[in-house]
Amino acid sequence: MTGAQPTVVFMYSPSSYKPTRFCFKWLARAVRQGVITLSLAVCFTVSVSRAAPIATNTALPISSDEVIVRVQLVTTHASDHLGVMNRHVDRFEARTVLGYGLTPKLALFGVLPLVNVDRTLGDVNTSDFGLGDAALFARYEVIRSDKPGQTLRIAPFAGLGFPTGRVGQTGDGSLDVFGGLIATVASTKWVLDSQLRHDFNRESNGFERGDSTSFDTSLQYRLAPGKVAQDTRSFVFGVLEISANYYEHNRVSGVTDPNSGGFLLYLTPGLQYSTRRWIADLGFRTPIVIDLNGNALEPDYSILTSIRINF
Amino acid sequence: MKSMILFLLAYALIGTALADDVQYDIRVDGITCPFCVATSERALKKITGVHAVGSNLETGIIFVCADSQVTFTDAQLKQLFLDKGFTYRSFQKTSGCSIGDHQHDEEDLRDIPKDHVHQAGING
Repeated sequence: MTGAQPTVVFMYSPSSYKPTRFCFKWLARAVRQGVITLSLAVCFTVSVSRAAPIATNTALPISSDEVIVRVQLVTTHASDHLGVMNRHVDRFEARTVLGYGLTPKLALFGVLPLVNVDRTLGDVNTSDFGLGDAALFARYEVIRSDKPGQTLRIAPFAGLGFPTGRVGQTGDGSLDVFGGLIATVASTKWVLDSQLRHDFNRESNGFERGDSTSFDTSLQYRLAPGKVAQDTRSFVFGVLEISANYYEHNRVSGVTDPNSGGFLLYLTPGLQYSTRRWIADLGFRTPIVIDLNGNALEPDYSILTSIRINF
Repeated sequence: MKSMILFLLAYALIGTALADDVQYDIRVDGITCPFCVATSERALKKITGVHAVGSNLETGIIFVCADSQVTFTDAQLKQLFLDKGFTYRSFQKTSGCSIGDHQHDEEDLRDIPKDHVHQAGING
């Protein structure tokens, strides 16, 4: 220790654990001022946007020329102690997802988040509020096998993440590319959704967030009613989701950031109420394996609620 | 006496009206939840002459109560459910309408004589 104050930056952004240019700026400033004893840029975010069951995606269809709107509210909490200093981040995100069935097989999705982030570092508090980074993606059904009350669907998807958020505050400034594959097996008693996704993150103004790969699986089991009849109008599902996420190191001006990237495994139990017109769900997401590089801030939990309506 | 005559008249009129109705029991595969079946039901309800639509998710049967003038074809139903993202298999047409007290199951379908079941010829 050389007597200088540590510089620690927290930043949430719309993808998982990605340091943004905001972190980079603080880090660069600390280097310029030569005050670093512990100069750590920790940029922290939790991805919860991938849609359908609770935090996973689904390959179930959107009817041709039909619109589904989903509003998802996510509160995420993270805190720890770095030496004697308390670190604390609360992120609230209201995410609107619009899905449109262009054809019976091809669906288009738009995602628009509104973000509020409160950060505490010792006695210093900061807060940012505004539009996050939007995304557009397409999903195309390549395999469908239907039976009475059962279905199997497999659908690849691909899309772009747009830098619509304020750079370094609610967005990271880069145009990113992502894609993957979703498989869904469903019956009237249970639904199993699995998704493999890769994010190719691009460089913007000297900062390049590491690419990430995730594998999500969601099991929804019907708790009520016990037997489906002609007048059954709604289902209650118990939901259990598991999400494995691997993040590569970030690069700042071509240099690898040792305090970035790593592995996280999340578990999300929840409940879902499905009617003919809308679906509401509630989930509690917590990390069960945390293996992040360096001194990255570790997540504590997220609470996820959403409602979906078809028009 | 007067009320008795009115009651009998009303009963006869209702009976005639019901007799003019037909019911289509449409087998559609791939529908697994109330949210999934909603768009298909709405599309059927928009058809002129359709009075009521119900479904049994377990058996994959959608029930349509309609005027006798309403006629469905395999091609029409195949396209309708294709647009909704599901697989149409076949339909059975019967006189009268009993939506509400129908409780079909797999055995009911197996018991239907073949000449009463209009097979779509698409892996039904």
